[in-house]
Amino acid sequence: MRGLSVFLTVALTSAFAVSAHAETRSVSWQGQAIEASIAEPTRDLGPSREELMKMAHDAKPALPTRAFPGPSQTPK
Amino acid sequence: MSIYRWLVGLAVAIAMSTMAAAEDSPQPLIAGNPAVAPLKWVGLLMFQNAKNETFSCTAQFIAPRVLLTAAHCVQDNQTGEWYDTNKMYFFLQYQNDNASDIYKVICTGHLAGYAPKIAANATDDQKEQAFEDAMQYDYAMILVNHDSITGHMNVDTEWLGKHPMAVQIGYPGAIEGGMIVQRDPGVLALSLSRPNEVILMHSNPNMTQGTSGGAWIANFTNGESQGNNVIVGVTSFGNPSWPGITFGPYFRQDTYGSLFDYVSKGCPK
Repeated sequence: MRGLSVFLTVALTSAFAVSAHAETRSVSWQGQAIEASIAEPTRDLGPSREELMKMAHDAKPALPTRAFPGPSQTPK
Repeated sequence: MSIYRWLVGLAVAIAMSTMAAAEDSPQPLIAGNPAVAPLKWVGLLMFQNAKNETFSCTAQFIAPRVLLTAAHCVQDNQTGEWYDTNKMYFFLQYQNDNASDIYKVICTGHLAGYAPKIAANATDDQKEQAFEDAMQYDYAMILVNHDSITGHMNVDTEWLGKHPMAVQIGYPGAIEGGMIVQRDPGVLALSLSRPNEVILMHSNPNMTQGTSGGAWIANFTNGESQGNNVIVGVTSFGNPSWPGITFGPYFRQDTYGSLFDYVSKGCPK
């Protein structure tokens, strides 16, 4: 019985680990084409507040992925 | 000189005539106060790419649980990579390594026009054109896990002829290391090249990386009366050839309204 319990625990943990990813979808909503990404609803709280603050401090200001209208473009 | 550059130049000239009238008024200090309206509804958006590199953008509440930002802050439309919504956080009233509240992301969405479907046999010019056109849809909305503790701003769509000026806000890495929200007033102009693109001509060329997704706010004031602090755009991109000029999407009522409704409902299938 103990062995079965351990097996089930490991199996369930693995199943959640595999499913812990964002899902993307493309829909037509009120006639408009929309694309979306949905977070894993069962995810935990994640890093601590202190860890998140450290990550925000170290984050690089984002660059847009598109340059316009030539090679010297500076994204915001 | 490309026709595009010529058209932008013309738009700039038109906007300059409006800006001249505004020069008589004193320029406000650029550092903003996140304790009061409208910056109390603004914060820093943090996300990671597939290489675990961490980036920041600017975002703001437009409903109790809905943020507005740039689409390029949630997806790379060149590679198609969505930034992991499980590792995306919003720091309300972010300043000097502190925030009043931290929000997790439930879902995020943008108009499909931001991620153009390129035919396999498209030429380089066609690809270039498709991605240039896509930038006029460079805005996204994000549903977060709990209500804003400070409230939210309102958005105006199809506002041409109504708002001649706006204040660009954001966390530019080039100013104070991106630790303090900044504001920079400017003149609005319609891009003559694309129907859903607008230009903001402002005074500070350092309002660059990190301000992505930051609101352009018309009727900017600490007062919270109806009609004050209305979002008329978000920062998308700029060009070093034209310092102080920022491009952003022009919100159409039908597309903006549908996206807001969709994301507000949790991005259903």
